[in-house]
Amino acid sequence: MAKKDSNQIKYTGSEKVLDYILLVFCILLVVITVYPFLNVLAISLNDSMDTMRNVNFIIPRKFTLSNYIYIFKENNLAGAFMMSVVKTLVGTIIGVICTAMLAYVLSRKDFYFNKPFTILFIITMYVSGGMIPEYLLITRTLNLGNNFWVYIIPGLIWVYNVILMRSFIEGLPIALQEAAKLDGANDFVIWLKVILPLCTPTIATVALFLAVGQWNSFMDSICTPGICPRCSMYCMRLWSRL
Amino acid sequence: MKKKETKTRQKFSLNLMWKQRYLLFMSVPFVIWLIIFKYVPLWGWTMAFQEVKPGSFALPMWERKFVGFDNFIKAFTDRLFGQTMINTIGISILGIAIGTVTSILFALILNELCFTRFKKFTQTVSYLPHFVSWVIIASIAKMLLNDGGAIDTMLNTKLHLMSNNSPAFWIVVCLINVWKEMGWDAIIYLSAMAGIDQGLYEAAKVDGANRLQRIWNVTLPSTKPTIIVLLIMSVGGALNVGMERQMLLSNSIVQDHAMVLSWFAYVRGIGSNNYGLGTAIGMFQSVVGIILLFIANKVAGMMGESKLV
Repeated sequence: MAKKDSNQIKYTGSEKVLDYILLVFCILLVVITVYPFLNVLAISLNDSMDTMRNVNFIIPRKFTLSNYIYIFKENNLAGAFMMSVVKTLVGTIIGVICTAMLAYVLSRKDFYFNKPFTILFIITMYVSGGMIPEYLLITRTLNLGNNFWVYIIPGLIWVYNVILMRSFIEGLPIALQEAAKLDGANDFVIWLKVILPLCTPTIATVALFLAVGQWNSFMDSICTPGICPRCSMYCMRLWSRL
Repeated sequence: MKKKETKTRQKFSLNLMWKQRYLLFMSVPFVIWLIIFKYVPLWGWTMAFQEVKPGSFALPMWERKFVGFDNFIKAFTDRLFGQTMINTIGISILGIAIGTVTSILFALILNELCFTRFKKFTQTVSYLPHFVSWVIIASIAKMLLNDGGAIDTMLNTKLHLMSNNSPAFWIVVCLINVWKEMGWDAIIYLSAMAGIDQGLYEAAKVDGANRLQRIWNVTLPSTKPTIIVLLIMSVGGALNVGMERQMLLSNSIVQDHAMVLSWFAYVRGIGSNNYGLGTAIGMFQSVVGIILLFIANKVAGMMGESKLV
Protein backbone atom coordinates (compact mmCIF):
# COMPACT_ATOMS: atom_id res chain seq x y z
CA MET A 1 0.00 0.00 0.00
CA ALA A 2 2.80 2.32 0.90
CA LYS A 3 4.30 1.90 -2.55
CA LYS A 4 1.15 2.71 -4.42
CA ASP A 5 0.11 5.81 -2.54
CA SER A 6 2.34 8.30 -4.33
CA ASN A 7 0.40 7.72 -7.53
CA GLN A 8 -3.01 7.31 -6.08
CA ILE A 9 -4.12 10.89 -6.51
CA LYS A 10 -3.89 12.29 -10.01
CA TYR A 11 -3.27 15.99 -10.14
CA THR A 12 -4.82 18.12 -12.78
CA GLY A 13 -4.07 21.40 -14.54
CA SER A 14 -2.90 24.14 -12.21
CA GLU A 15 -2.12 21.70 -9.40
CA LYS A 16 0.51 20.14 -11.59
CA VAL A 17 2.45 23.42 -11.55
CA LEU A 18 3.34 22.84 -7.92
CA ASP A 19 5.21 19.69 -8.90
CA TYR A 20 7.57 21.65 -11.09
CA ILE A 21 8.06 24.40 -8.50
CA LEU A 22 8.99 21.75 -5.98
CA LEU A 23 11.28 20.06 -8.47
CA VAL A 24 13.20 23.28 -9.07
CA PHE A 25 13.41 23.89 -5.34
CA CYS A 26 14.78 20.41 -4.69
CA ILE A 27 17.37 20.77 -7.44
CA LEU A 28 18.54 23.99 -5.79
CA LEU A 29 18.71 22.19 -2.47
CA VAL A 30 20.78 19.36 -3.90
CA VAL A 31 23.18 21.91 -5.40
CA ILE A 32 23.53 23.73 -2.09
CA THR A 33 24.22 20.48 -0.28
CA VAL A 34 26.64 18.99 -2.76
CA TYR A 35 28.51 22.15 -3.76
CA PRO A 36 30.59 22.57 -0.56
CA PHE A 37 31.77 18.98 -0.80
CA LEU A 38 32.80 19.41 -4.42
CA ASN A 39 34.48 22.67 -3.52
CA VAL A 40 36.54 21.00 -0.80
CA LEU A 41 37.42 18.15 -3.12
CA ALA A 42 38.65 20.66 -5.69
CA ILE A 43 40.71 22.56 -3.12
CA SER A 44 42.25 19.34 -1.83
CA LEU A 45 43.37 18.49 -5.36
CA ASN A 46 44.65 21.99 -6.03
CA ASP A 47 48.11 23.42 -5.59
CA SER A 48 48.10 25.03 -2.13
CA MET A 49 49.95 28.20 -3.17
CA ASP A 50 47.38 28.74 -5.88
CA THR A 51 44.54 28.19 -3.39
CA MET A 52 45.89 30.98 -1.20
CA ARG A 53 46.01 33.41 -4.12
CA ASN A 54 42.78 32.64 -5.93
CA VAL A 55 39.41 31.35 -4.98
CA ASN A 56 38.56 27.88 -6.17
CA PHE A 57 35.22 26.62 -7.29
CA ILE A 58 34.58 23.12 -8.50
CA ILE A 59 37.41 22.44 -10.91
CA PRO A 60 40.99 22.48 -9.58
CA ARG A 61 43.13 25.13 -11.30
CA LYS A 62 46.47 23.43 -10.86
CA PHE A 63 45.91 19.75 -10.33
CA THR A 64 48.23 18.08 -7.84
CA LEU A 65 48.18 15.16 -5.44
CA SER A 66 50.90 16.64 -3.25
CA ASN A 67 48.42 17.64 -0.50
CA TYR A 68 47.38 14.04 0.00
CA ILE A 69 50.94 12.79 -0.11
CA TYR A 70 51.90 15.44 2.45
CA ILE A 71 49.24 14.43 4.98
CA PHE A 72 49.83 10.75 4.80
CA LYS A 73 53.60 11.10 5.01
CA GLU A 74 54.27 13.73 7.60
CA ASN A 75 51.28 14.11 9.77
CA ASN A 76 50.67 10.76 11.39
CA LEU A 77 47.17 11.09 10.00
CA ALA A 78 47.19 7.50 8.81
CA GLY A 79 47.70 6.29 12.38
CA ALA A 80 44.95 8.52 13.72
CA PHE A 81 42.68 7.38 10.91
CA MET A 82 43.29 3.73 11.83
CA MET A 83 42.52 4.58 15.43
CA SER A 84 39.19 6.06 14.39
CA VAL A 85 38.38 3.01 12.27
CA VAL A 86 39.20 0.55 15.06
CA LYS A 87 37.30 2.60 17.61
CA THR A 88 34.25 2.82 15.38
CA LEU A 89 34.26 -0.91 14.59
CA VAL A 90 34.79 -2.11 18.15
CA GLY A 91 32.44 0.47 19.66
CA THR A 92 29.64 -0.29 17.21
CA ILE A 93 29.82 -4.08 17.51
CA ILE A 94 29.95 -4.12 21.31
CA GLY A 95 27.37 -1.35 21.52
CA VAL A 96 24.84 -3.12 19.30
CA ILE A 97 25.14 -6.39 21.22
CA CYS A 98 24.69 -4.63 24.57
CA THR A 99 21.79 -2.50 23.34
CA ALA A 100 19.97 -5.51 21.91
CA MET A 101 20.47 -7.55 25.09
CA LEU A 102 19.22 -4.80 27.35
CA ALA A 103 16.33 -3.93 25.05
CA TYR A 104 15.16 -7.54 25.11
CA VAL A 105 15.28 -7.75 28.89
CA LEU A 106 13.40 -4.46 29.25
CA SER A 107 10.75 -5.64 26.79
CA ARG A 108 9.97 -8.63 29.03
CA LYS A 109 6.98 -7.52 31.08
CA ASP A 110 7.22 -10.60 33.34
CA PHE A 111 10.73 -9.70 34.47
CA TYR A 112 10.57 -8.76 38.14
CA PHE A 113 12.86 -5.73 37.85
CA ASN A 114 11.47 -4.52 34.53
CA LYS A 115 9.91 -1.31 35.77
CA PRO A 116 12.63 -0.12 38.19
CA PHE A 117 15.34 -0.79 35.62
CA THR A 118 13.42 1.03 32.87
CA ILE A 119 12.93 4.06 35.09
CA LEU A 120 16.60 4.03 36.11
CA PHE A 121 17.62 4.12 32.47
CA ILE A 122 15.10 6.75 31.36
CA ILE A 123 16.09 9.18 34.12
CA THR A 124 19.61 9.33 32.72
CA MET A 125 18.26 10.69 29.45
CA TYR A 126 17.48 13.96 31.17
CA VAL A 127 19.93 14.18 34.06
CA SER A 128 23.66 14.13 33.74
CA GLY A 129 26.41 14.87 36.18
CA GLY A 130 28.00 17.16 33.64
CA MET A 131 31.32 17.12 31.95
CA ILE A 132 33.62 17.66 34.88
CA PRO A 133 32.51 14.89 37.25
CA GLU A 134 32.48 12.51 34.29
CA TYR A 135 35.94 13.62 33.26
CA LEU A 136 37.23 13.16 36.80
CA LEU A 137 35.55 9.78 37.17
CA ILE A 138 37.01 8.49 33.94
CA THR A 139 40.53 9.81 34.27
CA ARG A 140 41.13 9.82 38.02
CA THR A 141 38.89 7.27 39.71
CA LEU A 142 38.73 4.64 36.99
CA ASN A 143 42.11 5.54 35.50
CA LEU A 144 40.85 5.02 31.96
CA GLY A 145 42.67 8.11 30.66
CA ASN A 146 45.55 6.29 29.04
CA ASN A 147 43.51 3.42 27.73
CA PHE A 148 41.80 2.57 24.46
CA TRP A 149 38.63 1.59 26.33
CA VAL A 150 37.97 5.22 27.26
CA TYR A 151 36.39 5.49 23.81
CA ILE A 152 34.17 2.43 24.22
CA ILE A 153 32.99 1.95 27.79
CA PRO A 154 31.67 5.36 28.92
CA GLY A 155 29.42 5.67 25.86
CA LEU A 156 28.52 1.99 25.64
CA ILE A 157 24.74 2.34 25.59
CA TRP A 158 22.48 5.15 24.45
CA VAL A 159 19.17 4.93 26.27
CA TYR A 160 17.44 6.39 23.22
CA ASN A 161 18.56 3.39 21.13
CA VAL A 162 17.47 0.96 23.83
CA ILE A 163 13.97 2.46 23.83
CA LEU A 164 13.85 2.40 20.03
CA MET A 165 14.78 -1.28 20.00
CA ARG A 166 12.55 -2.18 22.91
CA SER A 167 9.47 -0.80 21.21
CA PHE A 168 10.39 -2.79 18.10
CA ILE A 169 10.78 -6.02 20.10
CA GLU A 170 7.46 -5.37 21.84
CA GLY A 171 5.87 -5.27 18.41
CA LEU A 172 7.04 -8.81 17.60
CA PRO A 173 4.50 -11.60 18.17
CA ILE A 174 4.88 -12.96 21.69
CA ALA A 175 3.90 -16.44 20.50
CA LEU A 176 7.37 -16.91 19.01
CA GLN A 177 8.98 -16.57 22.42
CA GLU A 178 6.44 -18.87 24.02
CA ALA A 179 6.99 -21.51 21.36
CA ALA A 180 10.73 -21.35 21.88
CA LYS A 181 10.22 -21.66 25.63
CA LEU A 182 8.07 -24.75 25.18
CA ASP A 183 10.85 -26.27 23.12
CA GLY A 184 13.11 -25.85 26.13
CA ALA A 185 15.06 -22.72 25.23
CA ASN A 186 16.22 -20.50 28.09
CA ASP A 187 15.95 -16.72 27.97
CA PHE A 188 19.43 -16.22 26.57
CA VAL A 189 18.85 -18.72 23.77
CA ILE A 190 15.50 -17.07 22.96
CA TRP A 191 17.28 -13.75 22.64
CA LEU A 192 20.07 -15.16 20.51
CA LYS A 193 18.10 -17.46 18.23
CA VAL A 194 14.65 -15.87 18.05
CA ILE A 195 14.81 -12.18 18.83
CA LEU A 196 18.12 -11.16 17.23
CA PRO A 197 17.37 -12.55 13.75
CA LEU A 198 14.00 -10.79 13.76
CA CYS A 199 15.51 -7.48 14.82
CA THR A 200 17.74 -6.88 11.81
CA PRO A 201 16.04 -3.62 10.73
CA THR A 202 16.48 -1.96 14.11
CA ILE A 203 19.92 -3.46 14.53
CA ALA A 204 20.90 -1.77 11.29
CA THR A 205 19.47 1.56 12.49
CA VAL A 206 21.13 1.37 15.89
CA ALA A 207 24.43 0.29 14.35
CA LEU A 208 24.27 3.28 12.03
CA PHE A 209 23.58 5.68 14.90
CA LEU A 210 26.38 4.21 17.00
CA ALA A 211 28.87 4.15 14.16
CA VAL A 212 28.21 7.75 13.18
CA GLY A 213 28.41 8.79 16.83
CA GLN A 214 31.70 6.98 17.34
CA TRP A 215 33.24 8.24 14.12
CA ASN A 216 32.28 11.84 14.79
CA SER A 217 32.94 11.97 18.51
CA PHE A 218 35.33 14.68 19.44
CA MET A 219 34.64 15.38 23.09
CA ASP A 220 36.00 12.09 24.43
CA SER A 221 39.44 12.90 23.10
CA ILE A 222 39.37 16.61 23.88
CA CYS A 223 38.44 15.75 27.46
CA THR A 224 41.56 13.70 27.87
CA PRO A 225 44.06 16.25 26.60
CA GLY A 226 47.52 14.91 26.01
CA ILE A 227 46.90 11.95 28.22
CA CYS A 228 46.66 9.43 25.46
CA PRO A 229 48.83 10.52 22.53
CA ARG A 230 48.73 7.07 20.96
CA CYS A 231 44.94 7.10 20.91
CA SER A 232 44.52 10.47 19.25
CA MET A 233 41.90 10.36 16.60
CA TYR A 234 41.26 11.45 13.09
CA CYS A 235 38.98 14.31 14.13
CA MET A 236 41.46 15.66 16.65
CA ARG A 237 44.30 15.52 14.15
CA LEU A 238 42.24 17.40 11.60
CA TRP A 239 41.25 20.01 14.11
CA SER A 240 44.83 20.65 15.11
CA ARG A 241 45.62 21.35 11.43
CA LEU A 242 42.75 23.75 10.92
CA MET B 1 1.19 -4.11 58.70
CA LYS B 2 4.07 -6.46 58.16
CA LYS B 3 1.70 -8.97 56.67
CA LYS B 4 0.53 -6.47 54.12
CA GLU B 5 4.05 -5.75 53.08
CA THR B 6 4.81 -9.43 52.58
CA LYS B 7 1.65 -9.68 50.53
CA THR B 8 2.57 -6.91 48.13
CA ARG B 9 6.09 -8.24 47.80
CA GLN B 10 4.93 -11.80 47.52
CA LYS B 11 6.04 -11.98 43.97
CA PHE B 12 9.66 -11.63 45.01
CA SER B 13 11.19 -14.98 45.85
CA LEU B 14 14.48 -16.76 45.35
CA ASN B 15 12.64 -19.22 43.21
CA LEU B 16 11.49 -16.46 40.87
CA MET B 17 14.98 -15.00 40.75
CA TRP B 18 16.36 -18.43 39.85
CA LYS B 19 13.77 -18.73 37.11
CA GLN B 20 14.75 -15.36 35.70
CA ARG B 21 18.48 -15.84 36.22
CA TYR B 22 19.25 -15.41 32.53
CA LEU B 23 17.36 -12.14 32.39
CA LEU B 24 19.24 -11.01 35.48
CA PHE B 25 22.58 -11.96 33.93
CA MET B 26 21.63 -10.05 30.82
CA SER B 27 20.63 -6.85 32.57
CA VAL B 28 22.45 -6.47 35.88
CA PRO B 29 25.87 -5.76 34.27
CA PHE B 30 24.30 -2.88 32.37
CA VAL B 31 22.62 -1.53 35.46
CA ILE B 32 26.00 -1.59 37.21
CA TRP B 33 27.50 0.19 34.20
CA LEU B 34 24.68 2.72 34.34
CA ILE B 35 25.20 3.40 38.02
CA ILE B 36 28.95 3.82 37.59
CA PHE B 37 28.89 6.03 34.51
CA LYS B 38 25.62 7.92 34.87
CA TYR B 39 24.70 8.00 38.55
CA VAL B 40 28.13 8.23 40.21
CA PRO B 41 28.90 11.47 38.32
CA LEU B 42 25.71 12.88 39.87
CA TRP B 43 27.50 12.52 43.21
CA GLY B 44 29.97 14.95 41.69
CA TRP B 45 27.30 17.63 41.95
CA THR B 46 28.45 18.08 45.54
CA MET B 47 31.58 19.63 44.06
CA ALA B 48 29.41 22.55 43.02
CA PHE B 49 29.18 23.46 46.70
CA GLN B 50 32.86 22.98 47.44
CA GLU B 51 36.12 24.63 46.55
CA VAL B 52 37.82 22.16 44.25
CA LYS B 53 41.22 23.13 42.95
CA PRO B 54 43.95 20.81 41.70
CA GLY B 55 45.51 20.93 45.17
CA SER B 56 42.41 19.65 46.91
CA PHE B 57 41.67 17.06 44.28
CA ALA B 58 43.39 14.21 46.02
CA LEU B 59 41.38 14.83 49.17
CA PRO B 60 38.29 12.74 49.75
CA MET B 61 35.01 14.51 49.15
CA TRP B 62 34.21 15.20 52.80
CA GLU B 63 37.57 16.84 53.54
CA ARG B 64 37.31 19.53 50.87
CA LYS B 65 36.36 23.02 51.84
CA PHE B 66 32.61 23.55 51.78
CA VAL B 67 31.70 26.95 50.37
CA GLY B 68 27.91 26.86 50.03
CA PHE B 69 26.57 28.70 47.02
CA ASP B 70 29.83 30.58 46.38
CA ASN B 71 30.50 28.81 43.10
CA PHE B 72 27.04 29.66 41.78
CA ILE B 73 27.43 33.29 42.79
CA LYS B 74 30.85 33.39 41.16
CA ALA B 75 29.47 31.88 37.97
CA PHE B 76 26.44 34.18 37.82
CA THR B 77 28.48 37.30 38.47
CA ASP B 78 31.18 36.31 36.01
CA ARG B 79 32.03 38.98 33.46
CA LEU B 80 31.12 36.57 30.66
CA PHE B 81 28.00 35.01 32.17
CA GLY B 82 25.36 37.53 31.02
CA GLN B 83 26.46 37.52 27.41
CA THR B 84 26.85 33.71 27.51
CA MET B 85 23.29 33.28 28.74
CA ILE B 86 21.92 35.63 26.06
CA ASN B 87 23.89 33.77 23.39
CA THR B 88 22.72 30.37 24.61
CA ILE B 89 19.07 31.34 24.72
CA GLY B 90 19.25 33.25 21.43
CA ILE B 91 20.98 30.44 19.58
CA SER B 92 18.67 27.76 20.92
CA ILE B 93 15.44 29.68 20.25
CA LEU B 94 16.62 30.52 16.73
CA GLY B 95 17.86 26.97 16.24
CA ILE B 96 14.63 25.34 17.40
CA ALA B 97 12.48 27.72 15.37
CA ILE B 98 14.46 27.64 12.12
CA GLY B 99 15.34 23.95 12.47
CA THR B 100 11.78 22.76 13.09
CA VAL B 101 10.23 24.90 10.38
CA THR B 102 12.78 23.98 7.72
CA SER B 103 12.73 20.26 8.40
CA ILE B 104 8.91 20.17 8.37
CA LEU B 105 8.92 22.14 5.11
CA PHE B 106 11.49 19.82 3.63
CA ALA B 107 9.49 16.77 4.69
CA LEU B 108 6.36 18.30 3.13
CA ILE B 109 8.17 18.99 -0.11
CA LEU B 110 9.53 15.45 -0.30
CA ASN B 111 6.11 14.11 0.56
CA GLU B 112 4.51 16.05 -2.28
CA LEU B 113 7.17 15.43 -4.88
CA CYS B 114 5.96 12.84 -7.37
CA PHE B 115 9.16 12.20 -9.28
CA THR B 116 10.00 9.09 -7.25
CA ARG B 117 13.57 8.57 -8.46
CA PHE B 118 14.56 12.18 -7.95
CA LYS B 119 12.85 12.21 -4.55
CA LYS B 120 15.02 9.33 -3.34
CA PHE B 121 18.13 11.02 -4.70
CA THR B 122 17.29 14.30 -2.95
CA GLN B 123 16.66 12.53 0.30
CA THR B 124 19.94 10.63 0.15
CA VAL B 125 21.89 13.78 -0.66
CA SER B 126 20.23 15.65 2.20
CA TYR B 127 21.44 13.07 4.73
CA LEU B 128 24.99 13.45 3.54
CA PRO B 129 26.12 16.34 5.78
CA HIS B 130 24.72 14.64 8.89
CA PHE B 131 27.35 11.91 8.66
CA VAL B 132 30.20 14.37 8.43
CA SER B 133 31.63 15.55 11.73
CA TRP B 134 31.54 19.16 12.88
CA VAL B 135 35.30 19.49 12.38
CA ILE B 136 34.95 18.93 8.66
CA ILE B 137 31.73 20.96 8.38
CA ALA B 138 33.44 23.85 10.15
CA SER B 139 36.41 23.80 7.81
CA ILE B 140 34.09 23.71 4.78
CA ALA B 141 31.97 26.53 6.21
CA LYS B 142 35.03 28.65 6.93
CA MET B 143 36.38 28.18 3.44
CA LEU B 144 33.08 29.23 1.90
CA LEU B 145 31.95 31.97 4.25
CA ASN B 146 35.15 33.66 5.42
CA ASP B 147 36.00 37.13 4.16
CA GLY B 148 37.17 36.69 0.62
CA GLY B 149 35.88 33.12 0.57
CA ALA B 150 33.97 31.49 -2.23
CA ILE B 151 30.63 33.18 -1.46
CA ASP B 152 32.18 36.64 -1.23
CA THR B 153 33.99 36.12 -4.51
CA MET B 154 30.91 34.82 -6.25
CA LEU B 155 28.79 37.77 -5.17
CA ASN B 156 31.73 40.15 -5.50
CA THR B 157 31.01 41.82 -2.15
CA LYS B 158 32.16 41.59 1.45
CA LEU B 159 29.39 40.08 3.54
CA HIS B 160 31.50 39.55 6.71
CA LEU B 161 29.50 36.43 7.51
CA MET B 162 32.06 34.97 9.87
CA SER B 163 33.54 38.18 11.16
CA ASN B 164 30.49 40.13 12.25
CA ASN B 165 30.54 40.56 16.00
CA SER B 166 26.77 40.77 16.43
CA PRO B 167 23.82 38.39 16.84
CA ALA B 168 24.08 37.88 13.08
CA PHE B 169 26.59 35.19 13.96
CA TRP B 170 23.81 33.21 15.67
CA ILE B 171 21.89 33.14 12.43
CA VAL B 172 24.97 31.99 10.52
CA VAL B 173 25.52 29.18 13.06
CA CYS B 174 21.86 28.17 12.93
CA LEU B 175 21.80 28.14 9.15
CA ILE B 176 24.92 25.98 9.02
CA ASN B 177 23.21 23.67 11.49
CA VAL B 178 20.11 23.60 9.30
CA TRP B 179 22.26 22.74 6.30
CA LYS B 180 23.80 19.85 8.25
CA GLU B 181 20.76 18.40 10.01
CA MET B 182 17.69 19.29 7.95
CA GLY B 183 17.52 16.10 5.91
CA TRP B 184 18.16 13.93 8.92
CA ASP B 185 15.56 15.65 11.09
CA ALA B 186 13.01 15.39 8.29
CA ILE B 187 13.12 11.57 8.48
CA ILE B 188 10.89 11.40 11.54
CA TYR B 189 8.36 13.83 10.04
CA LEU B 190 8.43 11.94 6.75
CA SER B 191 7.71 8.63 8.44
CA ALA B 192 4.82 10.28 10.30
CA MET B 193 3.49 11.63 6.98
CA ALA B 194 3.83 8.22 5.34
CA GLY B 195 1.52 6.81 8.00
CA ILE B 196 -1.39 9.14 7.13
CA ASP B 197 -4.48 7.35 5.87
CA GLN B 198 -4.81 7.98 2.11
CA GLY B 199 -8.59 7.95 2.49
CA LEU B 200 -8.37 11.33 4.21
CA TYR B 201 -6.82 12.89 1.10
CA GLU B 202 -9.46 11.40 -1.13
CA ALA B 203 -12.23 12.61 1.17
CA ALA B 204 -10.71 16.11 1.14
CA LYS B 205 -10.52 16.00 -2.63
CA VAL B 206 -14.15 15.02 -2.89
CA ASP B 207 -14.98 17.95 -0.64
CA GLY B 208 -13.25 20.22 -3.12
CA ALA B 209 -9.99 20.98 -1.35
CA ASN B 210 -7.13 21.90 -3.66
CA ARG B 211 -3.60 20.66 -3.19
CA LEU B 212 -2.38 23.37 -0.80
CA GLN B 213 -5.56 23.07 1.25
CA ARG B 214 -5.00 19.33 1.52
CA ILE B 215 -1.47 19.92 2.81
CA TRP B 216 -2.72 22.48 5.31
CA ASN B 217 -5.81 20.61 6.49
CA VAL B 218 -4.76 16.96 6.26
CA THR B 219 -0.99 16.50 6.28
CA LEU B 220 -0.08 19.07 8.92
CA PRO B 221 -2.75 18.21 11.52
CA SER B 222 -1.93 14.50 11.15
CA THR B 223 1.77 15.21 11.80
CA LYS B 224 1.03 17.47 14.76
CA PRO B 225 1.55 14.89 17.56
CA THR B 226 5.03 14.07 16.26
CA ILE B 227 5.89 17.74 15.91
CA ILE B 228 4.75 18.49 19.46
CA VAL B 229 6.70 15.61 21.03
CA LEU B 230 9.89 16.59 19.21
CA LEU B 231 9.37 20.25 20.20
CA ILE B 232 8.98 19.31 23.86
CA MET B 233 12.18 17.29 23.71
CA SER B 234 14.10 20.11 22.08
CA VAL B 235 12.79 22.68 24.58
CA GLY B 236 14.13 20.42 27.35
CA GLY B 237 17.56 20.64 25.79
CA ALA B 238 17.39 24.38 25.19
CA LEU B 239 20.43 25.23 27.32
CA ASN B 240 22.53 22.35 25.99
CA VAL B 241 23.80 24.08 22.87
CA GLY B 242 26.63 21.93 21.56
CA MET B 243 30.03 23.26 22.50
CA GLU B 244 32.07 21.77 19.67
CA ARG B 245 29.96 23.46 17.01
CA GLN B 246 30.51 26.84 18.66
CA MET B 247 34.20 26.27 19.28
CA LEU B 248 34.90 25.15 15.75
CA LEU B 249 32.86 27.79 13.92
CA SER B 250 33.91 30.79 15.95
CA ASN B 251 37.03 32.86 15.76
CA SER B 252 38.42 35.52 18.06
CA ILE B 253 36.42 38.27 16.34
CA VAL B 254 33.01 36.75 17.03
CA GLN B 255 33.95 35.13 20.34
CA ASP B 256 31.57 37.38 22.31
CA HIS B 257 28.57 36.10 20.40
CA ALA B 258 29.72 32.50 20.11
CA MET B 259 30.26 31.65 23.78
CA VAL B 260 27.58 29.26 25.10
CA LEU B 261 27.05 27.75 28.55
CA SER B 262 28.79 24.41 27.98
CA TRP B 263 31.79 26.14 26.50
CA PHE B 264 31.80 28.59 29.40
CA ALA B 265 31.82 25.60 31.79
CA TYR B 266 34.77 24.13 29.92
CA VAL B 267 36.76 27.37 29.90
CA ARG B 268 36.08 28.27 33.54
CA GLY B 269 36.14 24.69 34.82
CA ILE B 270 38.74 22.56 33.07
CA GLY B 271 40.49 25.47 31.41
CA SER B 272 41.29 27.38 34.59
CA ASN B 273 41.30 24.39 36.96
CA ASN B 274 38.34 25.59 38.96
CA TYR B 275 36.38 22.36 38.92
CA GLY B 276 33.76 23.47 41.46
CA LEU B 277 32.71 26.37 39.27
CA GLY B 278 32.46 24.18 36.17
CA THR B 279 30.30 21.68 38.02
CA ALA B 280 28.03 24.47 39.27
CA ILE B 281 27.41 25.59 35.69
CA GLY B 282 26.77 22.02 34.56
CA MET B 283 24.30 21.52 37.40
CA PHE B 284 22.51 24.75 36.57
CA GLN B 285 22.19 23.56 32.98
CA SER B 286 20.71 20.17 33.96
CA VAL B 287 18.23 21.59 36.47
CA VAL B 288 16.98 24.30 34.12
CA GLY B 289 16.69 21.68 31.35
CA ILE B 290 14.47 19.43 33.44
CA ILE B 291 12.30 22.35 34.58
CA LEU B 292 11.88 23.52 30.96
CA LEU B 293 11.01 19.98 29.88
CA PHE B 294 8.26 19.66 32.45
CA ILE B 295 6.91 23.15 31.74
CA ALA B 296 6.77 22.41 28.02
CA ASN B 297 5.14 19.08 28.74
CA LYS B 298 2.56 20.71 30.97
CA VAL B 299 1.82 23.50 28.49
CA ALA B 300 1.33 20.94 25.72
CA GLY B 301 -1.02 19.00 27.99
CA MET B 302 -3.00 22.12 28.87
CA MET B 303 -3.39 23.03 25.22
CA GLY B 304 -4.84 19.58 24.66
CA GLU B 305 -1.85 18.34 22.69
CA SER B 306 -0.07 15.02 23.04
CA LYS B 307 2.45 14.78 25.87
CA LEU B 308 5.85 13.22 26.14
CA VAL B 309 5.72 11.90 29.70
